[in-house]
Amino acid sequence: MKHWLSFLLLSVFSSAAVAADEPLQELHEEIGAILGGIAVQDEGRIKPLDTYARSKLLLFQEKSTHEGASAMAWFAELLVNPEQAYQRKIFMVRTDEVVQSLHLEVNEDDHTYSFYEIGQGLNEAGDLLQKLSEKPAEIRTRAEKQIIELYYKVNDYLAISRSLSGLVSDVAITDAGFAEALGVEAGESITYFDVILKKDVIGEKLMAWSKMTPEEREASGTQNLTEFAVLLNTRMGDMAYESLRIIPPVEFADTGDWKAPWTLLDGAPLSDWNMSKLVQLKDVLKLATANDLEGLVTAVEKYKEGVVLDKSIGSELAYNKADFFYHSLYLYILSCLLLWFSFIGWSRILYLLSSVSFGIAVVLNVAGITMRCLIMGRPPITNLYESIIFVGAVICLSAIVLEYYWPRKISLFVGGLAGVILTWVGLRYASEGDTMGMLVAVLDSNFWLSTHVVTINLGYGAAFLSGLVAHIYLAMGCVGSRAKDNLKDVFSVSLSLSFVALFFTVIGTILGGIWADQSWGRFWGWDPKENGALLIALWLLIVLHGRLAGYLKPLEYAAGLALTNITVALAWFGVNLLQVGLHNYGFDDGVARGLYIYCGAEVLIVAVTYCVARYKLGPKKSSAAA
Amino acid sequence: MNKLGRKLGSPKIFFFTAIWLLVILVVGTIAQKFIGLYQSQNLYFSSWYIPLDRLLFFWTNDAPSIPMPMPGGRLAMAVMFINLSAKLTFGTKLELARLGTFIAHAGGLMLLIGGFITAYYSKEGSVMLYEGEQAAYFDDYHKLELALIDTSPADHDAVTAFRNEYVRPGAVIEDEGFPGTIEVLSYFRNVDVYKLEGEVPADYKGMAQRFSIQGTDLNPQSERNRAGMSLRVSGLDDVENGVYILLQHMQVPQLLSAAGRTYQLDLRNARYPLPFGIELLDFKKVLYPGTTKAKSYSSDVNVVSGDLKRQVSISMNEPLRNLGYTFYQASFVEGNEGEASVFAVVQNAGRQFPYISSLIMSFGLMLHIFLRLMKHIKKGSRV
Repeated sequence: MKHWLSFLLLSVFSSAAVAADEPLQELHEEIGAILGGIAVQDEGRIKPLDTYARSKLLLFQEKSTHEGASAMAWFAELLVNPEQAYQRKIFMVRTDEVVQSLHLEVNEDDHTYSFYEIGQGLNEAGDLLQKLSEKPAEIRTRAEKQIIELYYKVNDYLAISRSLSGLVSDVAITDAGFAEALGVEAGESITYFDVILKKDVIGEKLMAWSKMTPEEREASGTQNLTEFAVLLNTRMGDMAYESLRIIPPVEFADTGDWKAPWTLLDGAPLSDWNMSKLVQLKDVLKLATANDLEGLVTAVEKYKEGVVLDKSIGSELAYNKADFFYHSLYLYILSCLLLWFSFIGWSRILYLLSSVSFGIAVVLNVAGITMRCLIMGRPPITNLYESIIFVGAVICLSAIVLEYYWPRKISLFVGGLAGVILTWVGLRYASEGDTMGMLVAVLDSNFWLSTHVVTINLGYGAAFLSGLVAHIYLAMGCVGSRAKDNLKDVFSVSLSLSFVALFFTVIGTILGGIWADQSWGRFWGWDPKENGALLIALWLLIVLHGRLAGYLKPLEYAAGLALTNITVALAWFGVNLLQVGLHNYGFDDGVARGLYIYCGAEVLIVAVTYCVARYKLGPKKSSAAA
Repeated sequence: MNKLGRKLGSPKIFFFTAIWLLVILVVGTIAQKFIGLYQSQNLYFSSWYIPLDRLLFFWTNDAPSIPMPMPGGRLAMAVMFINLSAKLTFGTKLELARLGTFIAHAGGLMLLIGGFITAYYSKEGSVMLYEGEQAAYFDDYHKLELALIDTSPADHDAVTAFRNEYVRPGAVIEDEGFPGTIEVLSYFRNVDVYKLEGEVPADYKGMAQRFSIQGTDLNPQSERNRAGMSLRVSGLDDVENGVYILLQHMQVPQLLSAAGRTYQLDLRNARYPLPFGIELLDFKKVLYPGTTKAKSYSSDVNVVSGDLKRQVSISMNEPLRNLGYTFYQASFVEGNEGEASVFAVVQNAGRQFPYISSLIMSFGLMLHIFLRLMKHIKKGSRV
C-alpha cells in the first residue's frame, strides 16, 4: 500500500498543471465512439472497450454517463489527456464521514470528487490506510470499509489511466546530439515502446555519457541526458499497470490470454504479431491524440485485423448503444404519468397513450433481455441485476394480458408502478460491475439456470404482482362501497394470482433443492437462500389456508396477500444481508436501509388501508362483497 | 373415526402450524448469523422442541435459560404430516373441482415423507484424496466416533467404532478381545487445550501428562470445532491403566498395549465404509482467462471394486453415482504435498422423493389453476 502511495505523490502531483474543468468535448465523444469497438479481455471474457468503460464509470461514480457525455468519451479523454481527466469529479462518495477522514471539503452538491482530490486525501491519510488494512475486515465500520473501497477504486482508476502510457509519445528528447543518434528531431517526444526498440543505441549512449567528464560531454555534443533519464524512470513506474488486456493472442482469441501493453514492454523480445499490434495501437493513440478522426478510423480497423472471435462483439456494442432498460424506464414513468392524468380528464386519449407507451416499454424491456441472452448464450437470469429486470418484464407482460381481458386501468396502473420500481432498482444494481460477468463454477449450468432460476423468479414476480393487486383491493376498499362490483373482481384476480405465485414459488423452490441435490448432495440445507424461498411459499400457504379455514375474510385475505411483498423482498435481497460481514460492499448497507424502510412502509400502508377499508365497508359489507 | 379424521385434517391445524413454522424459520435463519448454519439447523429446524430462551434470545449463547420447551421444526412438520395424511384420507369427497388441490396435497405429503426418510436414514460426509491416493470410506461431517483400533495385524487394522451414546461422559466401553475397560470421564464438542503445570498425578498417561482440556463455546463454523474427551482405562496392567486425553484431528496417536497387541484410541469423525474404492487420478481446475475465478473443477477418478478399475470424471454439477452412494466435487487443496480433491459423499434413501413430489405437485397446482380459469371462462366476462 505504501509503495503505491509514494509513487502517486511523485508522478502525479508534481506534474499537476491545474486547468479548468471543461466539459467533455464533442471531439472526445467522436474519438470514444471509434475506440469503443476495440475488444478487450476483462473479468474472463472478451468485451468491447465500450462495455469496459461503462462498467468502470459505473463503479466509480454510480452512473454510466459523465455530465451528459458517454462513458467512452470519458475513457477517451483519460487515455489521450489524463492530466485533464484527473480533474473530473468522477468518484462518488456518499458518506461525508469518509470525505472528512481524508481531510477533504465535503461536496454538498452531488458528492463527487476528482482523482486529484481523493488521491491527495489518501496520500495524507497514509497512516490511517495502513492501520485500516491491518484491521480485520469483520470489525471495520461502514465508513472504514468505504475508505478501503475508495482506495481500491482510485488504484484501479490510476492503473487504467496509465495502462497505455507506454505507447504514448511523452518521453521528450531535448538533446540535439542524442536526438540525432536516435534518428528523431530534437524536442520531439518518443514513446517508451520506442525506447525499448532502440534500447541498444540508448543504452550505449547513456552508458558512455555517464562515464564522460563534463568537458567530454560538451565536446561530444550530447550535453544533458539527465532529464531523459528521469522521464524514463517515471515512465517505468507505470510498468505495473497491466489491467487493460487489449493485445489479442495470435490465435484462439476467445479463450487465450490477452496481454496488457505493459506486460509486453518488459524488454523481452517481441513476436512479430505482438510487435505489429503494439505498433498499430501506438498509431491509434497517436491519431487520437492528434484528433485525426479519419486516420483514427483506419488505424482502429487495422488494429482489429487478424483477430478472429467466435462471437462478434458488435452485438454487444449495439446492445450498449440501445440502452434498452433506461429507455424502458423512461417510458414506464411516462406511462404512469399519462395514466394518472387520465383520471383527471381526457380520459380516453390519455389512457390510450399510456397503454402505448407502456407497450413500447415492455417491448424494449423484453428486447433487452433477449439480446443479453443471445450475446452471452445463457438463460436470462444469472445475477441479481438480471433477476430484477426479468421480474419487472414478467410483471409488466402479465399486466398487459390482464389489462386486455379486464380493461379497468388497474393492471396498467400496477404494471407501470412495478415497471418503474423494478427497472430503477435493477439499474442501481448495475453499478456492481460487469452485468454480463462470468459465473462461478457451480452456477455455470444452463440447464439449472433456465429451470430453477427462471421458475423461482417467475414466482417472485407472480407473488409481487398478487401483492400489488391486493394493495389495489385495499385501496379500493378505502374508497368505500361505491366500488363494490369492481372489488369482487379485484379479489378474484388476486386470488387467482396467488395460486400462480404459489405454483411458481413451490416448484421453483423444489427445483432449487434438486439442483442442490445434484451439485452438493443435499436437497435441503436450511441455508438462508433456501429459507427465503420457503418463506414466500409458506406465507402464501398460510394466507390461502386461512381463507379456506374461514379465519380470513376477503379484506383480511387481501391484507395478508399484500404483505407477501415483504416476504418477496426478504427472500430476494434480505438473505444477502445476513452475510454483510462476508461481502464488504458499501452497497449492502444501502440495501439494508432500503429494505427496512420498504418493509416498514409496507406494514404501515397495509395497516392503514386495512383499517380504513374495514371502517368504510363494515364487517358485513366486506363479506358480502365476496 | 371419520369425524376425528376430518378434524385432524382441518386446514385450521395447518394454518396455525404453518404460522409457527414461519416463526421458527425466521428466527432460525437470523440465528445463523450468530451461531452458524449447523448449530441453528440442529436447534431450530431438525429439533422436536426448542428451549424458549433460544427462541427469545437467538443471538446469544449466554441468555438465561428458560426451561420451557417450545415445539421445534421437526415437530411442526410432523404435525403437518398427520394433518395432511388425515386430510387426504378423511377429507371431503373427491370432485373434479378439487382434484388439482388433492393431487398437490398428495405431492406435499410425499415431500414430507422424503424429508423424514432423509433426516433419519441418510449419511453425509466427505473424503479427501491426494492424487494417486485411494480410499474405501468417507467421514461424517459432524458426527464423531471413538475408535478402538487394533494395529497388530500386519495387513490391516481391526477397528471397533463407538458412536452416539458412547461419545458421552459416563459411557463405558468394552470390546471383545480387548481385555480392558474404558470409561469416558468428560466429553466436549469444542475444547481449548492447556499446558499442565506443576505436579501431574502418576496415573495420567500419554498426552494427559502434559495437557488438559476444557470445554468452550461452539464456533459458528461447525468444522472449526475440535472435540476432546478424557478417558479412564482400567483392567490392564499399571503401566497402561490410567487417564488419557483424546482430541479430534490429533497428530500423536494414543496407544495401549494389552495381551501382546497394540491398540490405538482415536476420537474422529464417524467413518463409514464404502463397498468400493475411489482412487484419485487427477484433479483439474480451469480458470477464466486472465482471472483467478474458477470456470470449473473436476477430478478424474477410478472406481475400484476388486481387480476392476473403471475411470470416471466428477465435476461441479456432474456427480458420480455408484451403488447408492453419490460423490460430488466439493473442494480441493493445493499444497506442498500436491493437489488433493475433496468429495462430498452422500447416501440418501429419500433422494428420489423430491423429484417425484415436485412432478406431482406441479401437475396438481397446474390442474387447479386450469380448472379455476375454465370456471371463470364458463361464467363469462369475469376473470
